[in-house]
Amino acid sequence: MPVVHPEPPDGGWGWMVVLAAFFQSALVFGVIRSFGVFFMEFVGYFGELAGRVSWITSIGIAVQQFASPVGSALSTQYGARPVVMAGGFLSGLGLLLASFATSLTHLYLSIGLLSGFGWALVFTPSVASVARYFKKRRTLATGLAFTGVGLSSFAFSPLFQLLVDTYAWRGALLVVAGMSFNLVVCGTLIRPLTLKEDLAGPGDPGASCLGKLSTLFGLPLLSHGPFMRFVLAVTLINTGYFIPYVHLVARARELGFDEYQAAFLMSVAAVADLCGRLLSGWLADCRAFRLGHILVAWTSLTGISLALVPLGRGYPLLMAISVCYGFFSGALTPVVFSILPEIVGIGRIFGSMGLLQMMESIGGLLGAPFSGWLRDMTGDYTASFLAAGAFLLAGSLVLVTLPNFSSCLEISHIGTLDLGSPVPPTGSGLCL
Amino acid sequence: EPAPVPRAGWAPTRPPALTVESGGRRRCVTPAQQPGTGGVSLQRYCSCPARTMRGSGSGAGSLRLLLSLAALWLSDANEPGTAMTTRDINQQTRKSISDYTVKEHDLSTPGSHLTTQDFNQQTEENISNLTSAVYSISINGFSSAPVEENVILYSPANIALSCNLTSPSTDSATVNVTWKKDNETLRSSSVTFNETKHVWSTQYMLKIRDRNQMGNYTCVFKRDQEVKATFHLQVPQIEGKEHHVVSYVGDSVVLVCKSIKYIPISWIWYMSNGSDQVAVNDSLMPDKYTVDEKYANITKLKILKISEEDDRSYWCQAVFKLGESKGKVSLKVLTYMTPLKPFLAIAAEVIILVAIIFLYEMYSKKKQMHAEDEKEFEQIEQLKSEDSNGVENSTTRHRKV
Repeated sequence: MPVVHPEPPDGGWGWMVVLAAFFQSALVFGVIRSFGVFFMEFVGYFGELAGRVSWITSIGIAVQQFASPVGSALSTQYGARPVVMAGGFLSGLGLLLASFATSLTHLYLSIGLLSGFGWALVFTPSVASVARYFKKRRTLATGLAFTGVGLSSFAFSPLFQLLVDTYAWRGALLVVAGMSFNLVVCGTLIRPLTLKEDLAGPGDPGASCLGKLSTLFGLPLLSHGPFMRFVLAVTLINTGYFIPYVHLVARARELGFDEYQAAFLMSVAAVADLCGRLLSGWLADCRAFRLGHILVAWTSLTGISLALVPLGRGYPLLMAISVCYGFFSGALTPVVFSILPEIVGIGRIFGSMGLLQMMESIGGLLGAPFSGWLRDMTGDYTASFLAAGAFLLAGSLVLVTLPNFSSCLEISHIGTLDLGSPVPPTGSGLCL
Repeated sequence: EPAPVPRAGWAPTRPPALTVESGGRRRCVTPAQQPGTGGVSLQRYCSCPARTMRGSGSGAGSLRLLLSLAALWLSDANEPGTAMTTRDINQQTRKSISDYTVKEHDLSTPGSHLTTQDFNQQTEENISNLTSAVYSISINGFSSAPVEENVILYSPANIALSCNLTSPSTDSATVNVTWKKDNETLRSSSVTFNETKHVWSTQYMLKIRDRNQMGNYTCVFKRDQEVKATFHLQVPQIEGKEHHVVSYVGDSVVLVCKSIKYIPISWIWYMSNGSDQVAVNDSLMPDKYTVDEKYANITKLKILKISEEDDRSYWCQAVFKLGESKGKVSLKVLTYMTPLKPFLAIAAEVIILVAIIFLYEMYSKKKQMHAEDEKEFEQIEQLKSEDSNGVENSTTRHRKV
């Protein structure tokens, strides 16, 4: 008989789950972000245009985000552990097959489709498991888990370059596949946890197969007002969030700075991002303010710092603005994930996170091309960054409409068909 | 996010600015480093004529005189019948030598090691069919060490090599000047010699038409001591790859050589055979070697069906009108076993860790169940003993919640 916890344990084995999530985010997003090293090799080996080669990572990221609900559904049914282990195996297998590729199509299928699907099975269940294991220190735990991304982006780029120099890209992909198999270890660490809310039951037992499937995918959530507003807000945030990753270096070069100065801006922003995640996690768990208010604050500050980027014409000023952007954008990330259980209840965390990932990816996919189009229309990046800031501010405005934002009373959220758990009381309840 | 596309091609260089500081010392402003592809390293130089003396107006003045002389000669040779003011000539000269780069080296320290300056021939607009340029060295004093420069030429041109000797001594003995090519004394009517107070300058006009005129040209000033300066006229160097290119048995690989600024007439590939270099014949073995020459300044040698014997060095030779130059690329061939070993090591580590974690979990569960069994056992014992003591015990069995 499984041990049912009335409350998330907030510690103990939970810290091992945080460790697992740390390595998982390092191995998923660190690999994706450092793939640029292989990009040059593929262009040289296959003789293809840069545009066609960049589809490899684009397909991988798109599959990872769109297939997230599948990962969530499977986790709801079978628990996080087997799903993450299977996902880890698939992503490693995809990279392994890629090392034998003889054409670009093979790479699209093996890295883009197979590894992307594996990453989808890994990411959402891991982050959701961290949220399940913690309550009082959820944001800090999530923030700690996400620091894996920043650290691995630093370490993996030179490591991949070293592997490519020693073994050429085929051998390097083989070694990276081995590294990705460590995701299986991460999955093993996620011990199954039964919370009180899980026993609430996924609806009546006589439901049809389709009905059950839709519950697994979290589809009832689509009619959940606060959740959909939250999804809209996060999509808007996502649209503006990724623009600096793509265009900040270009903006710096447009102003006349050289390659190293421009790249250094991104490195500094990455370090600030790391600090922001940790600080925000700690701050949120102090329970001095409500998570909703904190999120609105970080989002607005990120939007303002993005809108200020066009003002940075001198290098020190641009550097300062990048630091601010990095810090605030890092700060908002763990809060986005840890506020979710407060909106939909911890029982539906898997489904909601999968849906959230899938829908926010639309913003991520559209943001950078839109910003590029603005630049082509107006001639420089001023309009792009102003638009990015505007998206973020719009997102924070939508966040204001979430329940519990401006009232001092604890309203249990309005469920429709199946009731989720009531929103847990937020500690000291300082009313703002 | 899509990976950034590497930028190809040069950004146009910003014209450098010359400023004259207080005190009469001419100081050059360097342009900010421009983005560019790899291959030829960018030099943070500024385009200004060679510094003659620090803080001395006369040195700068003599140089200007020299330049205007050169400009007059150039303008006479290239554009007859055009009336120009002195200022126009100066500007035109500056434009024609605008691609000159001079390292800011102090030439006046005696006994120093050889200093090298690199000149690049202008490749921009020509005033006439053949480009013309002036290359100049300044020597400070009779006791300075020999100075050398590399002059890079890639197509026929008219050039003027000029040496200026500045000697502060008041000795009024005559100074003899000779020009040598590869240690052979030259006797030519295209040498001019100019002597003003403390400055001796000589200029040698050259018409470079083919490789016979390339080589080392030395100007020698002789009084009681001898001092010389050498110009090395050479074709542009091709950069190969310093690092090995790695590939696998049965795979194919592409070796690339680039010549960014200068476009060669043709390329020839060689491979090392022991200590010789043998030409790579792609027409003889078309399914093994393919040479791709889509662009004139990039050559790609594609080697198919690699075997272990292909682990050697390859040279790409660029043929210019005035000579050839080679770049080296080495190929290293590996078997699939090489990366397989770290992969298997990591896979073994994964399996071991997974096993450890599962075993630990089963062990801690067993311990928990064992502890519960013991607790239940104790309770049973307690019940029994209480029963035997006749005390009614209605304690319910503890169930784990």
